[in-house]
Amino acid sequence: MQYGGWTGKILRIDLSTGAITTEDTIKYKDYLGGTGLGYKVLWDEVPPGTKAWDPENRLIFGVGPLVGTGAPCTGRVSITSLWPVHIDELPASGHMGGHWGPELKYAGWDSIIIQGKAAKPVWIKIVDDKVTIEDAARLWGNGIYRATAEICTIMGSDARVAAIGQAGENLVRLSCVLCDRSHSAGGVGSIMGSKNLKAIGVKGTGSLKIAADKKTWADYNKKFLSMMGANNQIVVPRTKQPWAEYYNSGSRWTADKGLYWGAATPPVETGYCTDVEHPLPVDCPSPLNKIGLRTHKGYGDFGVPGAKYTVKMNGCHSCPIRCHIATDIPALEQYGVSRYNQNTCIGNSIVTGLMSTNSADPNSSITNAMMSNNLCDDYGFWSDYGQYSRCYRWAYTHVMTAAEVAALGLPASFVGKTTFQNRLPAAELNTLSGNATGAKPYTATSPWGLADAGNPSALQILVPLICANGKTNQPVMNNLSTPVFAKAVSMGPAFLAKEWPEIGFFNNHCYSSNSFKMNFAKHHSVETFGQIGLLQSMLWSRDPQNHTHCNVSGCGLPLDLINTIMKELFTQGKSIFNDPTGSDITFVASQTGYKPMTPGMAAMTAASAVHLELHNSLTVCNYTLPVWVSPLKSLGYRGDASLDAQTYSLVTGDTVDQKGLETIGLRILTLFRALTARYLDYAMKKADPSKKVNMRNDYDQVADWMFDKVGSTTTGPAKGPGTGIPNSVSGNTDAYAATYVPFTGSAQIMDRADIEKGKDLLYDQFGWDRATGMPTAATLTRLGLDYVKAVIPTLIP
Amino acid sequence: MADRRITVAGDPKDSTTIEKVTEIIRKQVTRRQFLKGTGALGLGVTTFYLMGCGSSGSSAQDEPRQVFVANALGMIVAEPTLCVGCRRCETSCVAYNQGIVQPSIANVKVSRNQQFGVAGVTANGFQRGDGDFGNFRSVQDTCRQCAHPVPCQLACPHGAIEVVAPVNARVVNVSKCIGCGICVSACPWDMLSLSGPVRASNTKSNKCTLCNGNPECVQACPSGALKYLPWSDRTKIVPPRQVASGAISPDIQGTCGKCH
Ligand code: SF4
Ligand code: SF4
Repeated sequence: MQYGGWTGKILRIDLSTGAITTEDTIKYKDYLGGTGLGYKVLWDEVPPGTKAWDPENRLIFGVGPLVGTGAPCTGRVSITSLWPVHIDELPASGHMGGHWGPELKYAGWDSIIIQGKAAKPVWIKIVDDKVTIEDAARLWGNGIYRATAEICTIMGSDARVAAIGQAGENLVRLSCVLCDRSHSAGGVGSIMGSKNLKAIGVKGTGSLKIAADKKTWADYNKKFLSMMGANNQIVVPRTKQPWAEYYNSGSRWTADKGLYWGAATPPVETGYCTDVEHPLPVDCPSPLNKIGLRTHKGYGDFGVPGAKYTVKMNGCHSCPIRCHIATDIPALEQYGVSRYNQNTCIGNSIVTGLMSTNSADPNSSITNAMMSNNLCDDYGFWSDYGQYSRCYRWAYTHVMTAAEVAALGLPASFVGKTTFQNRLPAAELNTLSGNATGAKPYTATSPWGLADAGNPSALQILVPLICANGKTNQPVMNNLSTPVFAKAVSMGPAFLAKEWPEIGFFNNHCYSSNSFKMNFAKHHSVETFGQIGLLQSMLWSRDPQNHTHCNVSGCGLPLDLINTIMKELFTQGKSIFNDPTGSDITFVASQTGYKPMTPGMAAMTAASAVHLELHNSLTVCNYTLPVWVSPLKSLGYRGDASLDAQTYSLVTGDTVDQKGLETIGLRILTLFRALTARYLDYAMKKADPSKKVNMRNDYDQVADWMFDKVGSTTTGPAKGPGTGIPNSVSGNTDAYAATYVPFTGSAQIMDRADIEKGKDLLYDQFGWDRATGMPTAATLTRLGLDYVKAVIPTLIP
Repeated sequence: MADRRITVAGDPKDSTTIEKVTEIIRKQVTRRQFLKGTGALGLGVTTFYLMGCGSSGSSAQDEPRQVFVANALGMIVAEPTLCVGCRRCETSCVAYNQGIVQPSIANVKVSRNQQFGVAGVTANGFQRGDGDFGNFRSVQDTCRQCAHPVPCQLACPHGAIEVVAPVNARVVNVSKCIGCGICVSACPWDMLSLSGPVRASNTKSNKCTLCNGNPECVQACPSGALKYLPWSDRTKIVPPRQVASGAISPDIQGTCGKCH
């Protein structure tokens, strides 16, 4: 391959035939890699009507040109496929960090396309250019830790393994692929399970080319690092420190004097971790040698107990910002699990929502979290960004009212009981609670009794039960089996809502669901710069986990300065997303200064969305990049929005500027749009042949709770089971107070007309049609996507 | 018989005689004391060159062959407690010196101990030992810049491992290296790596050069887990990683007795 960064070869493995073939990466270059490559493969090869678990579905382990190059934060992999968690199994991706992606590159492969289904359990062994399909009989049924260790005994201690656990094997929709102990790609585990593929082990000894000369590359990396902040590109410390002009109590730049990795031997003081403009005498050779200590997330997420139990901060290949909290909690040994566990953010609380904390124990929260993490990272159970867990909590505790039962058309007998009580068979309720009606008090030793007491051993029963997915041949402990419960939890909220419409009601109408649309989680939406967060969240078929805008909103700088910097980026023609009228973009008064939609907000929304696809295609970390702000006072805290383009150009030698790279990102997002429309149109026509998809109305949705108040007599159109019910009818009080008025005070409530205006402005930025939310023919041509028109001519305006 | 000289590394003209060195050696009781003594005496003596003793296959027959070499002036010392496992040291080592990225030839080695510790994986060996699948202890292996007798340097039949100013690092002279890999098995700590198959054209041995005293890995480490410190002998405190071949290049076999 003439370019640096890419290896030039893509591996294709057909598990049905055993065929292992090689393809030239160049044919996918316009899509970079990662999700871009994944979308193109799905578009070309997987016709509508294919289901997620069909052998014909493709599972694309997409790794981009920057992975393995050593550029900051380049350890990521996007795994794209038909997504088993979405109700129509529309395309989406799970993403993982760690070291597996770089290892694949060093083995000489840019990506892997998996298709077909093996006749029996297999794993794939990749040692440089030697690729074989191996028998996984001995591994199947085991957790990820054991599978990884077994494969490493064969391949070597430095092989990197991406594997599924029992969840993926048992076709749990909420399952992931994990690598490197704690790095998970959500939602895609069951696709490997459906293909009888347990794991992919990789060992690579080869090299990658960097197009730039070594001095330029070294200097560039140092420049890049000097502009980085802490996790989520937060550029000010949490506490007032003598070297820093600003500080912010919400900052993840937690390092401070007297704050330790308390479980390190000996404990490590994080101390002041300054920016490069404020070197302290103890920094050696420079403050860049303390970036890795800036983000003490053990303390950030769990407070003082977190600091006490942190061994170190860990993370992905090439990333100086360490976000995985490696902990040592000796008390866990009494439950027979390892005292050593690590993960980050929601990865530490995948199943903690299923239990209470023990208020008598100050370490209860972190102990439960690490028990959760120990189990979920072994079974390969996915968090769903908390959505399934909030639904579980609601089904576990919410007592159905007469009005709700009537509004949902449920049996009158449901009134006065929880959804689990109403829906689970008596035998299962007895197993879970110790009595056949599931009424409180629960027996203390039952799973629910233990859960309510904050006893972490509850999870040792619940997680295996759920991951068994109702398979009776997999008794958990004392031969427990709860197939209805297990299926209900493990299939995820969208599929559950189809069977239990009250779940759909909760997600769409109840404030505490925190759902965004289609029963998936809100993930940096309206709370993150209002409509900027909200509008970008509409564009994907899962919780979008977009941090582009988040890496600005939480940066810790004064809001008016942030607004000034964003206006420089998106109102002065520097980006392809621009508002020449120069309207305000972010809040200026307070983090809750919600205000009506402006064109500038649309420009930043568009850039935020496109950078997510860029990052997932390059593939770099979107939890830390882009660097739109920096800790550097000499730059007025400006970052450099062109860094992504610079890195890409220096690595590959394919020189593009910021606008050029944004155009590639828009190409990828627009292809995804067309792909989604194509599949959704098929699904709608299957239900009603007279229908035709309108992406604006049928896909770019927002849950009704974001607009409705207690007592509202109207609501949005129905969006699936349990929806379309005004609060006045259901009597729902889990809603904004009746007194709330959008864009006044700190009320986060949104206004439907304003969001419709927001769609207009956003589609304008993308070159998409306002009426249908589809890319116009001219836009497709401009982006090199003419081939799309021939496939879905009736959907192109 | 060619002249046997002692020189300051990098400057063969600045030399002293074998007699002077022999005298120093005789004054010392043990090798350890000898090594300390040369430093303390401050002779600036760094290299004992040998020429013409049946040099086997040296690509530069006219250059003297180093046998006794003075201590390195610096070394990279790793602090596992601080290592956050990012491997920026590995990528920087190769990329900033050679312009490519290839962790398998990095002169600081993190990946191989990262998941299961120095002891490596065993069946069911998760959550027991070191590493990310155990207690998170991640040991970064660095070159000890061994004192004489330097295993890799003495094993090389081509005299390709040389001591180079300004910090007396033991460095592979790529113009002499033929990629035979003999040094790789000679290093008790398995710190050298070949860039390709054994003896293939362009295959070279890679080992730590200390980057002229400002190592890229030390600059790159985001947690200060690698430090560039004055040399000290760590060969006795770090257990060997492999059973070293103990090979001594044929051209200098028998020369040890000249001094010892
Ligand atoms: S023998 Fe190994 S540790 Fe000693 S100098 Fe040579 S490479 Fe370094
Ligand atoms: S750069 Fe530092 S923290 Fe990262 S792997 Fe190397 S020694 Fe460890």
